[in-house]
Amino acid sequence: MIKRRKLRSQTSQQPSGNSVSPLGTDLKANLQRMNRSMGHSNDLVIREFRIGYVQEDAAIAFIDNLVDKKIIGEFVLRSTMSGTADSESNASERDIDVLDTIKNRILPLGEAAIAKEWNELFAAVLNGDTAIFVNGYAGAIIVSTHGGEHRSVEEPSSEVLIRGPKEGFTESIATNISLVRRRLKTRNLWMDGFKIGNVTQTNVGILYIKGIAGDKTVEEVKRRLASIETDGVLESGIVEEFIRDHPFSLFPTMYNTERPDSVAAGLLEGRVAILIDGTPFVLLAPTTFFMFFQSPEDHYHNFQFAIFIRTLRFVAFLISLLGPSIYVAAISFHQEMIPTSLLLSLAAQREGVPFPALIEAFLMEASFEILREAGVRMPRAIGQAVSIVGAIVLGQAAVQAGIVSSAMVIVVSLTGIASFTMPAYNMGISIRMLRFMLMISAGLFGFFGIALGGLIITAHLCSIRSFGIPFMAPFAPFIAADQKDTLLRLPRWFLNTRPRLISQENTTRMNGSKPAPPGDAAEEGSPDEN
Amino acid sequence: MRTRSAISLMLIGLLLIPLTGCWNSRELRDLSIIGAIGIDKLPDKPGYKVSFQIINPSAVTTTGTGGGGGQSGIPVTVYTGNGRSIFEVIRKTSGLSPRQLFFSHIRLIVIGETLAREDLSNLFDFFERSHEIRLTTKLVVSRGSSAEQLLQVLTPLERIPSDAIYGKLESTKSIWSESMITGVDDVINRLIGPGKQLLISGVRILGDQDKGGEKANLDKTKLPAEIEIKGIALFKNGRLETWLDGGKARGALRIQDKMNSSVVTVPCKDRDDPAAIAAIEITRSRTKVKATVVDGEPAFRVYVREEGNVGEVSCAVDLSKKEAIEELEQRWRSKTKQEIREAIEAAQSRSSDVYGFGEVLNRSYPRTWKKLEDRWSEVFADCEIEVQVESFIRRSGMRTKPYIKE
Amino acid sequence: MLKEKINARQLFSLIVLFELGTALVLPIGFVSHRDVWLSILLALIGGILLFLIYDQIVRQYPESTFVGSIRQIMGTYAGSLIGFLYLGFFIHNDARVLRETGELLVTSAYDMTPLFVICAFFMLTVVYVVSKGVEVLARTGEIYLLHVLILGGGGTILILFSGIVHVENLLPVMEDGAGKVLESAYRYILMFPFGEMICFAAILPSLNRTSSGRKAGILALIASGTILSAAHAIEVSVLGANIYGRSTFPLFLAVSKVNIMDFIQRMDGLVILTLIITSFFKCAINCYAAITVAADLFRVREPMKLAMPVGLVVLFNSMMTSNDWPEFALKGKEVIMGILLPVYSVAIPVGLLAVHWIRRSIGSKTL
Repeated sequence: MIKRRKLRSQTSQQPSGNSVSPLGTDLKANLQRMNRSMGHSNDLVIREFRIGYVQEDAAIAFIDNLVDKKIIGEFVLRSTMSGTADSESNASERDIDVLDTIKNRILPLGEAAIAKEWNELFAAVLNGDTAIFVNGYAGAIIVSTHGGEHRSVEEPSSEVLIRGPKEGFTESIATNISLVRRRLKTRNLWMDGFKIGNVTQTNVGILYIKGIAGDKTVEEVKRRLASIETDGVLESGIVEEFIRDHPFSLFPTMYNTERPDSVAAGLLEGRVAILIDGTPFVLLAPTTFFMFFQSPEDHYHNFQFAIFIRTLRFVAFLISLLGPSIYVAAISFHQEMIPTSLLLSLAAQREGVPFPALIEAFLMEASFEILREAGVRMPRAIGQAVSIVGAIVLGQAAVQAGIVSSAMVIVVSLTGIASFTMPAYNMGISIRMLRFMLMISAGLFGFFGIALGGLIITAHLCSIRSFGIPFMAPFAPFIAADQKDTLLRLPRWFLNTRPRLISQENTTRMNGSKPAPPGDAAEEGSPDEN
Repeated sequence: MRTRSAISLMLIGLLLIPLTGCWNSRELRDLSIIGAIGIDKLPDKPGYKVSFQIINPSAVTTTGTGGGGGQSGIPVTVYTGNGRSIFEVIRKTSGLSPRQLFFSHIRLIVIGETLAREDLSNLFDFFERSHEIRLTTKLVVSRGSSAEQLLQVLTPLERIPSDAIYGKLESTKSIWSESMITGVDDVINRLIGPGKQLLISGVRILGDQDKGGEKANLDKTKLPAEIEIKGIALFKNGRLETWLDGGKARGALRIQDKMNSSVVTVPCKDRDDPAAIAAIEITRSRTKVKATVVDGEPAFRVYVREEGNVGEVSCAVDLSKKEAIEELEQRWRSKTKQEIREAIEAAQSRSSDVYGFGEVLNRSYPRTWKKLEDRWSEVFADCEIEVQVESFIRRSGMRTKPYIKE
Repeated sequence: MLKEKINARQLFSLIVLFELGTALVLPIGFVSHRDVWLSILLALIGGILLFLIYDQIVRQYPESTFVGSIRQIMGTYAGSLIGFLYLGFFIHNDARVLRETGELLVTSAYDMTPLFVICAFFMLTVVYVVSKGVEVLARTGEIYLLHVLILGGGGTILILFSGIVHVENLLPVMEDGAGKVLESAYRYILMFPFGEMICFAAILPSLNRTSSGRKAGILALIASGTILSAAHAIEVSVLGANIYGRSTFPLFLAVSKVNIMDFIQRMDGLVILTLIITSFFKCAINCYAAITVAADLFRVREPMKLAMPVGLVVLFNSMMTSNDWPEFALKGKEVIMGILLPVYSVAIPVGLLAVHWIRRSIGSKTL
């Protein structure tokens, strides 16, 4: 404990070596200090020049590659250099607010501010802004010149849809916010900003729709974000681990997505989105278990198909959780339950297999996980080859050599494929780990073990909450109104309420209006209008 | 606090795991899957001779990749042991079988005829008590040979003999209806039920009994030894009394409303020409048994309503005419009546109420039944049983008139 | 600490699961084999009356727990004494449920596994779930009620489709007269499973609205009574009254007869699963009742800390309660259903309510 505390105090001191200290008036001294503070880094660019209208020495400082040089050239340098001494202004006036004047009258840029203090200045410059120093004035104008290389908006790679918007979040929080704002054009979409990480100073924003999201939830998210104390935040997973409920639970209690439409849908349901600069993954809270079974696409296809697909997904979930353990239990405990002809063919396959069923299942599952991990880590071109070699060649060879039974290969690959149907990757992770535990209990007690394991998992799921919302809602506690969009997906005009627990105050979405063909619509007063 | 208790619970669980060993876990390759059991009487001393037909999985499945001889091996092996109780023999034969005997997949229990003629009412406790053996396991009586011999016969097409016998039982039951399928639960319910006695189908070996167990049996188109479902054994108090064959067996099924489908041949015309016949396919047959009590004496009425099609005619008869059809119906009716009568006589003459008339009486006249229950066998032997049959021929196939001319 | 509350719907689920636990799979009623379904329906009326009595007792003192109510009626000392009696009773009853489940599992599938191990792991799971509190138990119950209904519905469809139901096995109705039916209803079935509902007296105070308990309870009793009656009627009509009456595990036998197209067969796994789930809840609810009573008696601030000790006592009690299954079954029939249940689930509650009313009427007269 002591060690850790010490470490933390060290890290917190490090960046604030030049703690709260105001800027000096001397240009040379300021520039020198700046250079020294940043260890004469090569990418710190300082350019001295003379301001046109006051004829004072000045300099701009920025970090190369973080800024848009075109903006600096066009709007910062040209406008400040080109002016001539203004006849109207007298010297005394100039003394007081030359910085203000430059900011207010000369710089044709949207964002500009005056920093009086070094920390503020560094934060801005390191964020891609440009600082303008003027000799004789204790302060610097900060102009926003963010730029540099960014990945453009592309199709999200981790959540692929057939039908639906092809935009995905990028690493830039500004872009990400704009993607959400473009979808929700309401003044009630409110945003709060945080800087998290003593070193990284990462921009973190929370987005919510005022009046739909529960105030308590918003407060709770803010409180938890504010209490994070760490040196760095590099990805939303780090924030998630700090603020999620039940950090020891295997189940993810926060949802993450790369899709602006998912976030917009979540916000409309009353959830809070947490955007973190530097990652395309946005967090949504509160989260319930069944969110992980839903894909935004369910709402874009027709509802019959959505119901079918959701049912299928749930079946796949059960297969991927229970598949190997049921197989192990059936062939090593409950042989009487297998139909005779199937049992005979299983027995024939297992004649030469040297391992007990449980060990065989473990080996196969473990090698499948290795293959999967290798396939993810390998360069994309090789990755495919690895998985094909692994899955087909290895499996085939193992079966032919009589080391594993072909039924086991079928079970394991079915389980693997079923686990890919989860729209959310992180739920897949917990299933993969629980699968091994259930396999052990099945190997010890057969179906009895599986049943007990299932009871424990269910009780655990029922006991956890996410930001105050029971994780298993709307099944436990059972909420009839929310069943419309959980495992089922009723037609759009039935979905007239928001999840009741999440958006407690404002639950009505619309006055259900069923679309009708034009003829009827005329009689009913055209429901399409709303 | 919560996490600590959870962790301690998990620790306790982990500590308990090594205790478990693998008590009930059995690997498939350590099991001998038994397809059928045969039970015979020991010739001179009390006790049973029990035979187990063990299936060799790699010889019966087409895709066996691991070890074994593939398709070439013999599909089953038969082990036999003697002992006072069946359970004892099962454990005793562990000296013969390299793997543990596994009973959950038994299809068939074969009872030797000599044992059946003695007494089998106390035989079934093991089958009921064991949790491995299912109540739905079927029973047959091996007719004219020992159960052991019957289990040794290899069968073509269906490589597992017990499955072959079961398949034959199923198909003959559904299209010929001269045999019935009896499960262990049926037997028990019949043995203890009011006035019900046993009926069990018979199975016999056609041909050379000793050759059935050789692999050569499968190498010929005409098998030296074949298994045939034949007749129904009629029991009285657990003792095989007689065999019902042919029409009698069919009559026995009709009384119990178990007739599915069959073919009846009736004379075509009045004259006694044995070659002039019409074959009628029974497509539907329903039987109701009603009890009446007159002066404390029970009487029964058996109603049969059957429908059928003409399937084959070997004389010149114009089936497009209503009269011809009615005449055939008439003959069919009397034939059915005769079959049922014969079946009833067979039971009454041995005063064994195999068809469950007593239960019918109990259901509608419980009080009379209470009075007669103790001497039901004698009462049943003298009961009046009336048979009423309604027969309808619905169709005559793709032709009306046969090509045969007078 | 936030007081945990459950709602009426969750109470409903818990009662249904509780009633179905073991009573669904065991032969009940003993003396009216063929008419057991009728006996269950008759006993249901008495069961509802009993539940109303428990509800009345709890309702008199909505702010206090079960033991609290007893103390207020009988005074602190006598009340605590009765509380101790109930603690013992709940623990013993829980031990019996545990033992029963273990025995059934051992006879039906786990013949080589020691009974103690089965019971220990079962109880460990119960303790884990119960230690998370009644709210979690109730929510888990809600989810598993769905499972059980799906399993039950599926099983019924399978049984009906495989054509093994012979309704004539249920005839004649009341062969031995109405006496046997009534005897079985009121001597046995009213006690087991309906009399065991007494442990809900310890759960009713956790309802978020005390008044909603009555309706939910009655509905749950009607639902579970109907399900039990139908299930046992199906069991009898599949097996015949004789086999039904002689078997230790009739539902298992009935389902094992299912055979559709030679492929859908041997569905007994479903029954074992139903057995495990329903008796799990029965065991957990009894355990929870014992814990709350114990917490009240010993003034333990955090009741759930008692989960482990109570669970251990239950486990060892279940091992010591009898040496073998016949002894256990006989004890159940004669001691538990003959003496303990009538005393604890009928006599004492009725007495408590009577004392309460007498005291209140005296009180109001003197005032």
